[in-house]
Amino acid sequence: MLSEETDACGPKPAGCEKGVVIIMNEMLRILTRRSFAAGRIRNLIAALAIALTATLFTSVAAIAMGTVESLTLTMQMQKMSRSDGELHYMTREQFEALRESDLIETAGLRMPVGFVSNTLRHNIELDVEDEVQAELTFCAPDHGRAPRAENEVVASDLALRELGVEPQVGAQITVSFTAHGQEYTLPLVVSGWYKALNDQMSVMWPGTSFRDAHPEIFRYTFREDHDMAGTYFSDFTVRSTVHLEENLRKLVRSLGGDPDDVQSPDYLQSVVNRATNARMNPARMAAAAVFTGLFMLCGYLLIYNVFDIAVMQQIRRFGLYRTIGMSRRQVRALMNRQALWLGGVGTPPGLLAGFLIGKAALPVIMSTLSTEYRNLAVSVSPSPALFLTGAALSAFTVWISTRKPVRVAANTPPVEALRFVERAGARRGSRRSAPGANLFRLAWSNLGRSGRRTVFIMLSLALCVVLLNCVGTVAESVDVEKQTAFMIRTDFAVVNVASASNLKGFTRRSEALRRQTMEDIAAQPGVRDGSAVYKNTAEDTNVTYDFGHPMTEQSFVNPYSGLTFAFDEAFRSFGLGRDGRPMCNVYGMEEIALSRMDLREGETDAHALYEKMAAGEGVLVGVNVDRRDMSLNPFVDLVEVGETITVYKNGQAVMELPVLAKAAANGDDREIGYTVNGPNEIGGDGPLLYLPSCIYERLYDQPSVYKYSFDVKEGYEEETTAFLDDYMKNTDPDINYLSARTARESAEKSREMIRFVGGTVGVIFGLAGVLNLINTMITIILTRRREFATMESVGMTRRQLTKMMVYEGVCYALGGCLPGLILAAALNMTLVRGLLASMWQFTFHFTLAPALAASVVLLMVSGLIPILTLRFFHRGSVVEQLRAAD
Amino acid sequence: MTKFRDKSISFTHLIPATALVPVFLGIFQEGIPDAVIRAGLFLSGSLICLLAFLGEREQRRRWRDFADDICGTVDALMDGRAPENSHPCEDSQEARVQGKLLQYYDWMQECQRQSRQERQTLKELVSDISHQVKTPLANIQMFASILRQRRLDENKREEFLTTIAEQAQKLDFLMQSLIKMSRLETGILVMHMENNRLCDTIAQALSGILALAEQKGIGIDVSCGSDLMVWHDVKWTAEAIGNILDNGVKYTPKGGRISISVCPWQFYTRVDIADTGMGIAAEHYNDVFQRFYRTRDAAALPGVGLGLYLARSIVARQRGYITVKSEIGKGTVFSVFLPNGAE
Amino acid sequence: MDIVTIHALKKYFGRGPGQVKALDGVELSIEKGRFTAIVGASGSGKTTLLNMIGGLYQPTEGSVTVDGMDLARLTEEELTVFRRRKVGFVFQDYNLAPELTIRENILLPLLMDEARPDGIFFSEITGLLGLKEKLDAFPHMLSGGGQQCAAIARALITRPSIILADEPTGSLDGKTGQSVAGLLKMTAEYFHQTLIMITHSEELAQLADRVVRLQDGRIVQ
Repeated sequence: MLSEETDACGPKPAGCEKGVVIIMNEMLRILTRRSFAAGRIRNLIAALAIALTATLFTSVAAIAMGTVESLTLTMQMQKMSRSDGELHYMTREQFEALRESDLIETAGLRMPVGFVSNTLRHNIELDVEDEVQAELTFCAPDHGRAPRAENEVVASDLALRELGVEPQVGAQITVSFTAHGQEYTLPLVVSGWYKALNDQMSVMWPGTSFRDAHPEIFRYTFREDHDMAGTYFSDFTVRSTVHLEENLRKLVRSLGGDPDDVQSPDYLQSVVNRATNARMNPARMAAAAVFTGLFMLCGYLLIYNVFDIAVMQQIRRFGLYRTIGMSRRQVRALMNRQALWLGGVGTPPGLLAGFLIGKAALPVIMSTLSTEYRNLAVSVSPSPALFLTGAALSAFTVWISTRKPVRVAANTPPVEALRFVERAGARRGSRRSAPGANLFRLAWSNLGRSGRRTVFIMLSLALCVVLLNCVGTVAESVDVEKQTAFMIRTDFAVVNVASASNLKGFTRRSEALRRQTMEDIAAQPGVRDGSAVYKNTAEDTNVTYDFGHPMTEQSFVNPYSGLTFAFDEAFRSFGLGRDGRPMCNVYGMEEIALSRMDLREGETDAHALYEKMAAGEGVLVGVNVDRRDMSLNPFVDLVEVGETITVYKNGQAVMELPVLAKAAANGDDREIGYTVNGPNEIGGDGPLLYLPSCIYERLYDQPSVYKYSFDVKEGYEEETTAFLDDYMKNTDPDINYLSARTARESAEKSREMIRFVGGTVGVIFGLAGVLNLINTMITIILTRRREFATMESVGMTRRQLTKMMVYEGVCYALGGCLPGLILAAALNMTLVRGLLASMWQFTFHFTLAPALAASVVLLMVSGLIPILTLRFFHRGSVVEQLRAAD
Repeated sequence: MTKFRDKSISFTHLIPATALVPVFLGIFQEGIPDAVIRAGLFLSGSLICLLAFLGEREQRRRWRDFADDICGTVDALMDGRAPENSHPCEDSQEARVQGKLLQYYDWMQECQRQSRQERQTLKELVSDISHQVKTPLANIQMFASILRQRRLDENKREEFLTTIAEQAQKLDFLMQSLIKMSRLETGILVMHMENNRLCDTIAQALSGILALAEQKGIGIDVSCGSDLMVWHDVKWTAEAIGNILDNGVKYTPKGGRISISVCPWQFYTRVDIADTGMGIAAEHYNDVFQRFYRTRDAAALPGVGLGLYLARSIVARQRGYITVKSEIGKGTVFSVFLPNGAE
Repeated sequence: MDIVTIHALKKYFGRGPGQVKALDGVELSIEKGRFTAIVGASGSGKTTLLNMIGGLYQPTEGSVTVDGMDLARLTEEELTVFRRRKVGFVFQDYNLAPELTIRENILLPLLMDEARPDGIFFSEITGLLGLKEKLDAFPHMLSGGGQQCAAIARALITRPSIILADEPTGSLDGKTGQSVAGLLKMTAEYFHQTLIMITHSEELAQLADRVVRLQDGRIVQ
C-alpha cells in the first residue's frame, strides 16, 4: 500500500485552472428561487390563498372604515358641525382666552344674532362667523368668497331662494331680525353662497366687520336677560380627544365659567360633538373582534393547509438537506423566506382587490342604513391605515399559520423525511393491488392519510355550511310584520319633518301640521279613517301633571327643547313645566286613532274607554313596550290603573283624571317609526297620556297636530304615495310621511343586508374550503403519480381512477357537510335562538334550507374538482407517469 | 480578500459620515424653522454616529477574539497539546476554521506517520530484495565455483552454464522489476498520458509473451475495436497488461486459452484478460496484488510476485483499477478499467 | 490510526414484542484513509450501521466515535454540523435536489456552512468525475451514473473525514455500477479519503481494502 501514499504529503498538482468561478454566497436565496421555479402550481395556490386572506381583511376593513367614516360625516352634516365640541355664551375675553388655550387646536368664532324673521318655510339663522367656524360647520361658500365689508354675507342656496333671489354672488337681499328686543331690517349683499345641507335650516353669516359696524346688536347682556346676541359661541377642534369631556370642564373653569350650574350667572355650556367623537361601542368592538377572528380562522385554515401541503411535498427535499448538514434553523429560515416571498407576492393584489370590493360593497350596505339615516354621505378613501391594517392582519395570519408547518419541516428526522414518500407508497401499493377492492372504501380510507389537513378541509366546509345556515336562519327570522306593526299602525302617517329625524323630533308649535295640508290629504280619493293627533310641545309649559312620583332635586337643561329636566332615583328623566311639575307627553286623538291602540290593562274596550274619557272621567296611559316580547316595559310603567293623575294649568289643579286603562305604546304611538326623539325632549320618561281631542283642545292653549294618520282603500297606495311625494315636494316641504309599505321595505332591507353580509362570509369560507380541496387534490395527484401509474399499469382504467378520486372529493364534502348540518341544527336551536330572543326585530324560525343548499353545491363542486384536476395534472401515458414520478 | 476588506472599511466609515450630515444640519441650518425638528435631526444623527462607533468597536473585538481563538489553536497544536475549548461541531465560523486547522494538523501527522512507515517499508523492501537476490546469486556463485573447481564433462558444463545464465536472467528480471517498482513508488516516474489507440498498446503487451505462449501451445484471442482511443500512457499500460498476460501464460496449462476483450463503458474502458488457468480462491482476490505474494500452488513456477503488484500500481496511477474474478480450476478474469475521461 | 471506533453498539427500533434489533453489539474500528466495504444481506443492519456512523441515528447502547468525537454526546444541532463538515453521503438513489443544478447540488453542503467554495478543488473534483460539461444541467437531464457522480462530488466537496456510501450502485445497471464504484474508490484514494461503502455485491466488495461482513446486526468472521 505504499505506492499510493507516497505523494500524499506533496503539494497537489494544481492541474486545474481556476476557470470555474463560483460565487454563491446566499444559499437561502438560491434555494428559495429554485423551489419557486420547481413548485409553480403549489406556489400559485399559496399566493392565491394569501391574496384571498388579504382581500378578506382589506375589504372588511374598507367596509368597516367606510361605514364609520360615512356615518360620522353624515352625522356631522346633520349636526352641521365637524368640530370636536362647542362652547356657548362666552364673553369676548373668554373667547380670546379660549383661542389661546393649550387644549384647542383651532377655534371658530360664532356670534348668534337670531333667526331671520322674514322667512316662511326655510329657517335662516343669522350669525357672525369667521372662516374657521364656517369651515367647521359646513357653511363655507362653494361659490364666491367670505364676507369682508360690513354689508356682505354668505348664505345657502335655499336661504336665498326663501328670500326671493336666485343664489348668485352679488345678489341683493333684505333681512329682518330682532335683537335685544329691537327689530332690524338691513339690506345686504351676497358675497358667496353654499349648498344647504338640509331643507329646514341654514346659517347666513356676515363677517366680523358686521359686528364692528353694529355694536348695539352685540351688547353683552347675557347675565341679565339670557339674550344670546352679544355672546360668543365657538366650534373648535382639539389637539387630543383623550378625556375630552373632563378637559373641557377644566377649560371652562379656567375661563372663569361654571360648566354645571345652569342657574349660575357664569354658566358656560360646553358640548362635546358626539358625531365626531362617538363613544366606543363595546358591542360593536366585540363584533369587529369576532369577525376579525373568524376571518383569521378562515385564512388560517387556508394558509395552514397550503403550507402543510408545501412541506409535505418538499419533505424529502428537507430530509436531504438535513442529511447533508442543513440545520433546523436554516430549514426554518428557508420556509420563512418562502412564506415571506409568497406573502410579498400575494398581499398587494389582495389589498387592491379588497379595497375595490369594499368600495363596491359599501354603497350596498350603506343603502340599508339609509332608512335610519337620511342624506347619507358615502365615502371611503384609500387611506394608508386601511392598507396597513389589511397587510398587518394578513401578515399576522400568514405568520400564525406557517408556524406549525415550519416546525414540522425543521423537526422531521432526516432519515424519516428522506424515506417519507417511498414508505407510504409501498404500503399503499400493496393494499391497493387487492383485486375488486371497493372504490368508495378505498377513497374513504385515503382521507386518513393526513389527519390534520383532512380535518381542516372538512372544518372550513363545515364552517361554510354552519355560517350560511346561521345567517339564513337569522335572515329568515327577521320579523317584518312585527317591525312594521311597531313602526306604524295605519297605512300612512304624515308628520312634520322634525318628527322624521332621529335627532330632532316634534317639539315646537311651529312644527305642527297645517290644517290645509290635512284637508288636502283627506280630500284625496281612497283616503279613509283619517285622524289628526295632537301632542304637547316645549311651549306648553303651563299644563303639568302630578302622578305622585317623587323626584330628586337634580336637574339639567335640555339643550334642544330648552326645558328643565329632573330625575328620580332610578335616573328616569322628566321634562318639567313652569310650576316644576312634569309635563309628560300628552296626546290628543280621535276615537278612530284610539281604537287602533293596543289596550292591555283596565278598560280594554276602545269605544267604552273613549266615551268615558270624553266625559272627563279618566285618562289612558301608554307604556313603552319592551320590544323583545312586546310586554309593558316596567322601567317606565309608573302608574297603575285606578290611580289618579291631577292636571294643573298655570299652577292651578284643573282636573282629576283616574287611570282607566293602560296601552302598550309602540313607535307610532309615541312619535312615528323609530324616531321617538320628540317625546324624549318633552316629557322624557314620564307616562304617555292619551286624551280625547275634545279634552285636549280644552286643556291646551294652542293645540298642535304632530301627525295625521290614515288608511287607504285597497289599490290606492300607489296613488296616495305619489300624491304625498308630490305634495311634499311642491306644496308643503315641512311634511314627511311614513307608509306601512316603506316600513316593511326598511325591515326587509335589514334582512337583505344580513343575507348579503352573512352570505359573503359564508361564501368566503366555502371558497376557502374549495380552494383547500383543489390544493389537496392537486397534491394527491402529483404525489401519488407513481402509485396511480402503478395502479393503471396493473389494470385500473382511467375511468376507475377518476371515479375513485371523485369519491374521495365527495368524501371530503360529506365529512364537512354532515357535521356541518348537525352543528348548524344544534347551533340554530341554541345560540342563534338565544341571540335572536334578545333582539326584538326577530322571531326565531328554524330552517336548514341554506345548509342543505350549501351542502348540495359543495358536494357538486367537490365531485367536479377531481375530474378537472385529473384532466389538467394527470396527463400522458402510464410510462410517462412512472418516469415523472422519479 | 483585500478587496473585500477595503470595501468593508469604506462602508463602515460611510455610515457615520452620512450621519454627520443631519448633525450639522441640526446645528447650523437656521433655515429649519422648528427647534424640535432641529434637535431631532441632531439627536438622531448623533445616535447613528454613536451606534456606528459602538458597532465598529464590537466588530473589532470580535475579530480579535477570532484571531485569538485561531492563534490559540495553532499554538496548542505546535506544542502537541489538544487545543482548548474546541467545538468542531459548532455552527460558527470560528469552529469552521478551527476544524480546518485540526484537519490540517491531522493531515501532517498522518504524513509523518506515513513517511515513517515508508522508511520501514523501504527497509523491508531492502531485506526482501536481498532475500530474493540471494538465491540466484548463491546459485550463480555455486555453479561458477563448481565450474571453476572441477573438471566436468561438456554436457554437465553446458547444463551448469545454462543454469547460470538462467539465474542471471532471473536476477536481471528481478532487478528490472525492482527498478520499475522503485521508480513507481518514489514517484519519479511520470506518466505520459496521450490519446492513443488501445489495440496498439495491447499488441505491444502481447509481443512480450507471444513466444512463451506459442511454446506452451496457448491460443490467444484478441477482440478490440481498432479505432478505440483511450487516454493512457502506452509504455506503462503495455507493461501492466503485459504483466497480467505474463501471469496468465505462466499459470495456464499447456493447450489453454487466453482471451483479451475490450469494451468501452461510460466512464471506463474495460479490458478483460481471461485465462483458463488454475484460478484464484475468492479470499485471495486482494492478495494476488500484494508485493511478493505467490500462492502456494504457484510456488513451483518461476516468478517473484511483482508483476500484478506493478500492474495494479500502474493502472492506479492512471486513475484506473483492476478487479479479478475467478473460478478455481476453470480460469481467471482480470479486468483492467482505464478511465475514458480526458482531463 | 482509527477514524471510526464503534464499541458495543446496539440499536433497537420500536418497543415491546415488535422491537427490531437492527444492530446488536457491533465492535468495529476503521483505519483512516482506507476503503472498507460492509457486506451483508438486506436486513442485516448495514444501513443502520452506516447511518449511525453518519450521525443520523443515536445509538440505543454503546458508542460511536468518529474523528475523535463521541456522537452520542453531540446535540441534534451539533450532529447536523458534524454531518455537514465531517461526513460525505452517497445514497443509492442519488438524492440530488431536483430543483438545483448540478453545480448548486455539489456546492450545497459548503453553502450551508456559508463557506466560499474553492474553485481549484471544485474543478479538480468535477474534472475527475467527468462533470465539467454538465454543471449547469439539472439532475433529471443526467443519466443515473452521471447523477451518482454528482452525488460523489457533493460528498467530496467539503473534504470530509469519511465518505459513507449506501449501496451507491444499487440503482444502476451492472456496467455503470462497476464504473461508479470504481470512480468512488478512485476519487476517495485520490483525495486520501476514508471510504465506507455498503454493498451486497462481492464483486464490488473486492475493490475495498477491507471487507466487513454483517449478519443479523453482528459482525461475523
